Amino acid sequence: MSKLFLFKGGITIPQSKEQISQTAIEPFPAPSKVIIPLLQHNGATAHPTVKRGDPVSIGQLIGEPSEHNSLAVHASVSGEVLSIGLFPHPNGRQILAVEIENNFKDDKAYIQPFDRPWQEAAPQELIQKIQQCGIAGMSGEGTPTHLKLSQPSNKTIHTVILNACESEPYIASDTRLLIEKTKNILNGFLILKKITGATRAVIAIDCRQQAVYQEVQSLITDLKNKDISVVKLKSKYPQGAEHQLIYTITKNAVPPDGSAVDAGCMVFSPSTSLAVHDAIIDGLPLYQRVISVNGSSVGAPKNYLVRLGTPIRTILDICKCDMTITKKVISGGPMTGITQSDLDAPVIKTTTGIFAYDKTTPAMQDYPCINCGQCVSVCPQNLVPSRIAKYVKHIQMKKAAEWNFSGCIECGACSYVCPSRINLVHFIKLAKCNASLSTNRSGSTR
Amino acid sequence: MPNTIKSQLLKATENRDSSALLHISATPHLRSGSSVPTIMRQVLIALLPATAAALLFFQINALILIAVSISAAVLTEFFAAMLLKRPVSLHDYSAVVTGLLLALSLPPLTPWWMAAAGSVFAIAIFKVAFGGLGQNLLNPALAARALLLIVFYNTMTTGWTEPYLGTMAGVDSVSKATPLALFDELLLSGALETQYIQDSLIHLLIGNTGGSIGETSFLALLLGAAWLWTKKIISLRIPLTFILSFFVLTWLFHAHGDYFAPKALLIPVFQTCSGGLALAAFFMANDTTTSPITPFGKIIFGIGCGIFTFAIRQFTLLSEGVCFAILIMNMLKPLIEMYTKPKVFGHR
Repeated sequence: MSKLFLFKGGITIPQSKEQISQTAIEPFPAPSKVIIPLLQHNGATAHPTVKRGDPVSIGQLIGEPSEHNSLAVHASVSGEVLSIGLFPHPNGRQILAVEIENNFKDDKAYIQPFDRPWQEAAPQELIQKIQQCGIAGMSGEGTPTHLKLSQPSNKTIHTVILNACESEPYIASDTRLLIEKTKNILNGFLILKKITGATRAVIAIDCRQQAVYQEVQSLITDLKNKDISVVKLKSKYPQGAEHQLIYTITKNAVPPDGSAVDAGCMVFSPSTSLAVHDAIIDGLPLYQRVISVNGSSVGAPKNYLVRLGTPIRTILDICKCDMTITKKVISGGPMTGITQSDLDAPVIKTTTGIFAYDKTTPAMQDYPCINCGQCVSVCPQNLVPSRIAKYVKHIQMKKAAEWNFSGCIECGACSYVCPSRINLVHFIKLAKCNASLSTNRSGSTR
Repeated sequence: MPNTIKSQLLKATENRDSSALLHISATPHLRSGSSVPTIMRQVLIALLPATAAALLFFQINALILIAVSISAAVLTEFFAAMLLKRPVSLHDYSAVVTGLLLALSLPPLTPWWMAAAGSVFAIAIFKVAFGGLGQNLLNPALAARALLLIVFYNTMTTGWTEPYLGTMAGVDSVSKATPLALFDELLLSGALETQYIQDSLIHLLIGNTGGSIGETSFLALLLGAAWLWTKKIISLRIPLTFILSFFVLTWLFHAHGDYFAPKALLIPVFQTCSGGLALAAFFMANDTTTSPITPFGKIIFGIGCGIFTFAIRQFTLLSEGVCFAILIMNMLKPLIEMYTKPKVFGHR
């Protein structure tokens, strides 16, 4: 099983993982104050269930779901609620959050773990438990896991994939977890496999991560589980993107406007699998996660187990990041992460890493497009990014739609290679934003 | 409730650390480091072997043409930018590339002022007037060459000389014609011998034969193209389809039923190696701005160039058709792109 699989396009970013994937996970000291946003995923904000002055313990519910796509939020430190209000959020907006002062007593208030072995439970019960623990896709996409699992019954899932490719460069939180918590992740993955009813389970590993491969392979041999197979994939960005991953493994192409279930697949990240395991086996709500801290102005790259709600500033301080030379701070990975204007923004469920750079990328393009076609040859979705960008720039949205901007997965490979340094992804995002705005507008007038 | 939110918002704004102003930008935050100047520099490096061959075989004539052409192009670009009050964009090397390409496509006996005029036209009319780098419809060097050919028809078709280094054996009498023009003459009179083609092929590969200063050495051009290809700057879709379609058409046309006779095979090989086809296919048809960006469009573009080159060489009075063939396809580029939109991944 050492065959290398491929998809069209993509880029290779040399030597992006060597250092960070050798760094063991360290627990990050709990901060004296956390700011826990009531929205930490892709969906609606939760309702606060605590008031100012309330005492809270670790794992206590502090926000309850308000809509079907909102998610439970739990306290990550024990102490007293200082305030509830609008606080900076890593997505750039001000969002309702609970500010908690840490009393360092670490009282725990976990929910009840599952009363019998999970193998005997019905999928619906397991999904409910996952929902209670507030789990969302933790590798950046942030879909609530319980929603992902409650698919309409007319779609059968035949394959579940554990996405251990982590194609985002300079990040190794999932890779490290797989080395250090292999067994728990595999168990979580098996729970997810049971819920979906899939017959095939595939663990996809980047061929550079030999350590992960050995770790996983030896455990599978121990388990004697015939349903799980391991594949090594060529290291190429964006190998971890859902459409590309499913295609390389099953040769089923996901339709451009569809999702993974249309190809009969579901993809989970190792950190999500671990969270599911912790929720079902230990009754542990999602209140902490592993992030990679890296970037040119961070002294030594680290992998930290961080409490959710820890301000980015605290993390950068501990990492001895020189703020006088830092020009850019990113929450997430360097290819798809969001630049931060306010360092009080906290780590949330979908934060895969914190990056600080002493350099910037061009805000405006350096040269006009010379039609070189580099963006076309690297686009994994078979688009012509430069053409879309040109039409969006001249506000010809209809033309941009003809060139299928909605098929973009925003991986950033086109902007990475562009010799004119055009912010291609930015223009495509603008087009998408404009399209969603105009559908909302026409919907309200009807 | 709204009031508390508002006060919180104010508090949050006041607390913001004003000492650290951070840069906000669109994703991705990593860039490969390739830029337009690096690409243009690579193209210049790729043209070095052909330039060296030109200097070797045509010596002072080549030197004057190349120097005049490049300086005229650069100066025109500079003055155009001053005149239009735009930032001077000389640092992207594109004017140098245009000037060099024009010089390489000129006959050795072209007067220097003609090369200068060509360069001025290439930059001022065919590039800047269209909107500058990346906006031109026609390849500036080719368009300028076509213009010179029409205006100074006599000089541009009889300005040939034999190379100063190593003459073509046995063809002393034809020192004032390109191999291709001579080939046409011999073909019409029926005096074309297989032996002659074989002899001249070697000269065509090395470059010590008559022709435009940069087009004579097939091998030097191939070397440059290979460099660009290994650097992943050019795709081979256009040049390969161009050369292949031209080769096949010439082969079928001249074979007269006997497709595998030595002569039937040698004629298309000779035709492919001569008349600046390699220079045109690898460096001019493949010019990114004036060729389609879509992968399938590139193939159509290449085949179109091949067909037009064949048609012009066979059925018109001009013996060298690449220039006009590419210009015609340049004009069809927007149309080709429109109809060759790639299908999104996963589209059924």
